[in-house]
Amino acid sequence: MEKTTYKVKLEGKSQLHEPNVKLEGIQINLWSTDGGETWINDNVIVNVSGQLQVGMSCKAISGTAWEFAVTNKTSGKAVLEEEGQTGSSGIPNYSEIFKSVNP
Amino acid sequence: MKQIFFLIVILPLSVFSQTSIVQDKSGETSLNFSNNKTVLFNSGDASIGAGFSFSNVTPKKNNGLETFWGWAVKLKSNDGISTLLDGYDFMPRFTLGVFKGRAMKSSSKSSSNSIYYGTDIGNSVFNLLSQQTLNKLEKTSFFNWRIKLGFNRLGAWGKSTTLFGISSEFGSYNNLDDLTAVERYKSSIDNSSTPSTIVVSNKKSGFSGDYKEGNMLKINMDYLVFPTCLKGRVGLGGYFRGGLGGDFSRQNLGVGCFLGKEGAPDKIVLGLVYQINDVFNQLKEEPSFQKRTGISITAGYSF
Repeated sequence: MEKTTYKVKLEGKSQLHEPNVKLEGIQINLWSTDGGETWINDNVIVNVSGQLQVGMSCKAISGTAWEFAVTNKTSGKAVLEEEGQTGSSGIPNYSEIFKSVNP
Repeated sequence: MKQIFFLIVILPLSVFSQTSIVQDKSGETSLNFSNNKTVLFNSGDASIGAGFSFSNVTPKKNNGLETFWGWAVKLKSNDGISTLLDGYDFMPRFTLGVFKGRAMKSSSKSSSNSIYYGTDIGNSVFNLLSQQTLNKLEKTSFFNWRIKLGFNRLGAWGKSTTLFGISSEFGSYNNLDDLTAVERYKSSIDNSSTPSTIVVSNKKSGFSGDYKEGNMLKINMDYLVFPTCLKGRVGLGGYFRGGLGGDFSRQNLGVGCFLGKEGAPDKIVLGLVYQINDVFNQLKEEPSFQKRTGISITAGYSF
């Protein structure tokens, strides 16, 4: 197992409700200073063995666009970059992703 | 010149602005969902207003439920922008409010609920036509306060988004919106030309009628549906405004449609509202149902 530090950023074009991000199955805290459009935790320390398991979910009025990024702070590389819109997966007002990525 | 002054003052503040996506003709709403940074103009009752707010959101530890707080400022000019400045007097109607709220756990992936509470204070400065002399406009001010409690729900109807809001407010009100806007001029006749010219000068704007102040309990309800067509950018819905209390008892109903930005449907750029004032004619001020109705256009810009 290796301790790795990540920056997590979820950015909506409008307010996102109940944002939920898990790294290796552990829910992390997120903070917003712009009224709930951008949610950040820039210092997440995770023990990783093999692939990094990433999960994200959020709620917003259907059609709200969002961008999600997880960045390895040591290497400076984005290990995951995703974008989408709430409701596009069939559940109105909701988005979720689950990915396994190189840490 | 006054319009330029208004834009210079208002636009820089709009960085911290927030207005709800649905407003009635008086600029009131029960929806506190969006944190739009928006400057918004409401043509209801021939007035122009703008609202600004800033909110801070943090999650409650480990459950992803955010709490939020913020402040809001509303400015409104009476009877159009021309009365924002009356000579050298700055005469806005303003409201300053603070609010706090939190999301509530929802069992459905499609829904999100929140409650909020807050308080507003405000002041109006306006000219009132003297009922004794009928030719003198008296500068009058009204300080008001309100406390409010509200519930909002983001939900779904089929694949469409629905927004529901209900709020209750108690506080002090006046009936300025019910009075008649009047203008007073000084006039003189210039006989040096043929035909003679009537010269009007020293224009002053104000209100005429039976002015009242008092306390009232208000119930506000809003319901909106965003169908999936047009990328979910168009919201259709209606609202109810109920006032309970003495001289101010009345019920207003409205229906409207609102156009939002692509990728951010709750950031409205345009709204059209058809409102029925005093549905049951409790105020007995206008017997004609048709004359108690009106259309309001809301235009906004979100940053």
